[in-house]
Amino acid sequence: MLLLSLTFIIASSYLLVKFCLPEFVIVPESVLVKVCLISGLSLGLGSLSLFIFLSAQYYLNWNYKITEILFWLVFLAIFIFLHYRTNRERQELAVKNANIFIAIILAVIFGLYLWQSIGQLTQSPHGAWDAKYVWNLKSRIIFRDPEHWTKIFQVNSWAHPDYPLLLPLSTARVWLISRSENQAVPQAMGITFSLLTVGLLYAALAITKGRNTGILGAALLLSTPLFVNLGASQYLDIPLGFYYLASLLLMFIYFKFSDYKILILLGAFTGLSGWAKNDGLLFIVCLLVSFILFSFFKKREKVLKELFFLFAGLAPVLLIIFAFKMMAPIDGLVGRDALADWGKYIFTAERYSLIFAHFKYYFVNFGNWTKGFWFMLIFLIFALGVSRERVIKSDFQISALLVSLILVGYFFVYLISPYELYFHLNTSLNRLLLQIWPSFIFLYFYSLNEI
Amino acid sequence: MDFIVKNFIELKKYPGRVKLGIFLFFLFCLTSTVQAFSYHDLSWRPEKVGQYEARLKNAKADLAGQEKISYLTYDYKPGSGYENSVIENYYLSQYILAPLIVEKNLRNKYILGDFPWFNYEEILTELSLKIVKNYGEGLLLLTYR
Repeated sequence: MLLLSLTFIIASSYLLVKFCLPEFVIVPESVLVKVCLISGLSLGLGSLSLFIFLSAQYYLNWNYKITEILFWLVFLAIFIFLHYRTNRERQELAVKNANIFIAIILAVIFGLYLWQSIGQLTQSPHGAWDAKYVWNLKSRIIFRDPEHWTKIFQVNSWAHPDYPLLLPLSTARVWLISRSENQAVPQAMGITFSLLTVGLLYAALAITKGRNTGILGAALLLSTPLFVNLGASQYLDIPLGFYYLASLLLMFIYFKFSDYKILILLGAFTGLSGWAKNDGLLFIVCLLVSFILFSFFKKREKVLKELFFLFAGLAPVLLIIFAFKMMAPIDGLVGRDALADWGKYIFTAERYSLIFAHFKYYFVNFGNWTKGFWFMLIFLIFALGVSRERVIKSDFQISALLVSLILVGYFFVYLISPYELYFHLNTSLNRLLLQIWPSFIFLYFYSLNEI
Repeated sequence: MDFIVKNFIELKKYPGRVKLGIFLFFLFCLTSTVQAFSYHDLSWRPEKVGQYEARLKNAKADLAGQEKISYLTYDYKPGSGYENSVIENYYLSQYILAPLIVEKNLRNKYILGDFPWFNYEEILTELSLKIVKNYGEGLLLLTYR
């Protein structure tokens, strides 16, 4: 049953990706991009479908299983129909070969990454604090009592009952279908999203800048201690970072091929970031604003049509998020009491200086790097040189605008935060920065000259 | 062999600053990766879930039919000074007893008393609680007198 269910979801995601993306010439990296996108989409669609079934009160009986199969069959039929109606030429990709010595170093770093992750998973199989007491707790409630799954809204405030359910439902889904609460499932989720992020980053840089650059990007991410640690700790900042990166890459692909169908997929991935964590809702807003702002300044006329296609992919996910938010308690950030305090917070100068100081501190000390890492990254800019031809392109400019808007958004969220500000900053800012780190690495290497 | 030589020559062709940049980059990547092995976080602490699962096993069976229970430990009074040291035990109890909802208040009929370190008699007297079942090692099922 688990296999059948997974097959339907993967097949549907495959067809959706195939329908929306241009046909690339088959090289390992173009396949890897699709594998990563299909995997991320499958996990997202799987959790969304379980939410629909649970909300519709289809429980763990035959009804649930038959309905699920029917649901995916209809989904598959639609995309098989769409797929065979479109005949497309394969797009050429000039992927430059990698130097074997550079590839060997990546292999060493990847080996160390695996060693460290497996060690951490063995020592801490239930994950770190948030994984246990927020995400896995909800998975347990849903699996152990699916008929009363709304109990997740009654747990203590630390578990953030209002947080969306991408990861808890993905885990619970496998448990429900396999009828076993196997702790390896959330562990596998954590590692899978880390590997998907690394794989997507490598492939995205390889097809845009060559394999050597892809290796540099993957090495930088894999050797970020915070990334390794939070991935094995089953934290949701890693899946969120993956959905951000996938959205960014889809934006690049759209600007290269100008095919509106790509925007449907971009909308779906952007929506899934909002389904992963509340922070993703900010990402959705920033993406829409960056599209509108960029089009306004560049006097692009097709922005309305672009937004229409974007919403075609985004709206179904947003509707489900909206339905979920209607059921969940109101988040402390936007509760009535909090809204009343916004005005007071915005005009408090001390809050600005505290947030600035923390941004500065966490930028400088980001990722638990070896000291001086930022200087090395700056040196690499001088060593390789900035590719002017790349940085004046629309895809780079709109992406840089998006990442900047997210940072401004984070700043604003802290400004109006109803929580104790010092505590809030110290417990979350490094993770927020980690969410945009894979996207930042992509933009960083994209803007440099090829090697 | 030719392949390796070819790759080596290709690497040698890079300008000096590029070679230095790549060398420094990988050096930092490797040192950060190695350093990460000594990076300690919450997740590297000894796993407490297994210990607490064993501790709560009998209580979990007894509470199977309940919807909600309360949780009581040393930090029952604001400013007790125990807040930080016992808060994880509360979250652990919720994690293990799920789907039972464990509330950090005294509003439910049954209360799980968790006093692993020292005497609880005074607290029970002060709050007018009686023991329904004593699971040992300071774990109690309580109710109001």
